[in-house]
Amino acid sequence: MIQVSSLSCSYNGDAVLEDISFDVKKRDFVAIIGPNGSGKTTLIKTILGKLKPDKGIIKLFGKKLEKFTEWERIGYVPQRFSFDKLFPGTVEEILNMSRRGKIIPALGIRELLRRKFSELSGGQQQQVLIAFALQSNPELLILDEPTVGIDAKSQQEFYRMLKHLNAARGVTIVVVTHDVGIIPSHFKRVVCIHQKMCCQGPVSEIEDLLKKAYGSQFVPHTHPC
Amino acid sequence: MIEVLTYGFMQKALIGGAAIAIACGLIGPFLVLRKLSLLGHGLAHLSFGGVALGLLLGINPLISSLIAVVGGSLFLNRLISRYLHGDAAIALIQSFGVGLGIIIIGAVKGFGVDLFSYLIGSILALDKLDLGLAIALLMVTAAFIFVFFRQLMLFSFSQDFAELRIRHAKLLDAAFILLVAFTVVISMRAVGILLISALLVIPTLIALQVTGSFRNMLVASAAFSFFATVAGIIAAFYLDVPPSGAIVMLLFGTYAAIAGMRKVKLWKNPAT
Repeated sequence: MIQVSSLSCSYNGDAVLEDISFDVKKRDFVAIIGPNGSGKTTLIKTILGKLKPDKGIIKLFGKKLEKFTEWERIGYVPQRFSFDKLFPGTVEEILNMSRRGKIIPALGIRELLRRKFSELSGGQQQQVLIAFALQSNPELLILDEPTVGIDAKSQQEFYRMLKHLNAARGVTIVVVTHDVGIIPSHFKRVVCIHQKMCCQGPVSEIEDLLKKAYGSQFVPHTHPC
Repeated sequence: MIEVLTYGFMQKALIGGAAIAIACGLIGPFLVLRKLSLLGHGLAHLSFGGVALGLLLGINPLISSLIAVVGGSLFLNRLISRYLHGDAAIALIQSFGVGLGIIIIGAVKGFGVDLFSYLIGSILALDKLDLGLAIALLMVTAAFIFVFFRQLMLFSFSQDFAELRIRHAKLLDAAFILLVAFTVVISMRAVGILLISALLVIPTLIALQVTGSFRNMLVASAAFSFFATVAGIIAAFYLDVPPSGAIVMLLFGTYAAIAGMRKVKLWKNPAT
């Protein structure tokens, strides 16, 4: 689904990612972790073609990024979503922007359909954005820090839904997070990145991977549940 | 009231004004929600330089300003997507247009009256060409928005999502800015360079206060723009004031009245 080979990226001459390689296979449920400033969001933006890499190759669904055009196969929810507070669209209108027709009930947003997006709480807005990403029936779902602003109970429900999507519908899921505590109970594989460092493995090896990637530098955030 | 409709110039003003008003009312929401409210204002000022250049060279000012505004809008689109924030890019283009116009006026000192009519508009002097262009603008705008409604709404919601989800998003964005450029040039004769942004922005601001969905807001914006323009032209006829000024005053008055009523309602019933 995603192949990243020898990827390097920089901002204004400062290296953010150097020689990173990893892959995500079909039906994978992967967490990409790393401390703040480790280049997680840069990596995702580069994979989505929003930033140009200095070097390296990215392939999506077997096609080189430069030639990839089937973006409807990918659902994406960004880390920080900014929109005009005046935006008058209802939740139903927003979901219809993604795909006209039947609204796919996700995260219990059915009762929000008639409400204005701008009048929802931060957590509810995040739920709508995830539902928006799911509306086009994506084969690959990329979520950048998706549970920021969502309460613990909703987070559990959210990860249960992702597990269901992965197991029942075969959706490949990539979640960027620095919340290490949630990983063992939900994900199948982990990719640890930190600028030059990138290692990947099954979730059962998470402690070894963390030590290998970060040594004692990385103090993981732990989740209460 | 019927008397107004017996004059040919008033018929043209009402039909042309209504067509331009509805077109501006339909385009406005997509500008306001993308924080490009001043795009029309900036392009209108660029057209000031274009009009002055046309008058200097003896070219139809409509053509010279169209060339200036279309070229400027494409340049502006590139600036915004790569180098500058929208407001800074618009200020840059606007300054250039006004500066060019002032230099030409200073050098020629001869076409003050002509240029003034473009600045404040002369809707009562619309000819058949102006009328045809206004109707064509309305038809093209309505068709463009009907076909690309979901994509344009997505751009208004999130540029990031739009660029990821829409094939040829940049092309669509350039097409939209070109539509704004044509709107500015065609509306210039009717409402004037200085007041075009009022028709593009104020109806949207009114509609945003009274509607609960994007689709309704779009319809309401076009409706407020239409009624203010028709009422403004008729009021100007009876009160003997410039129609463009009357239209803007009506729009502003409507905005202020609705905003005031909402404040009072909120004050009386804070729970709503």
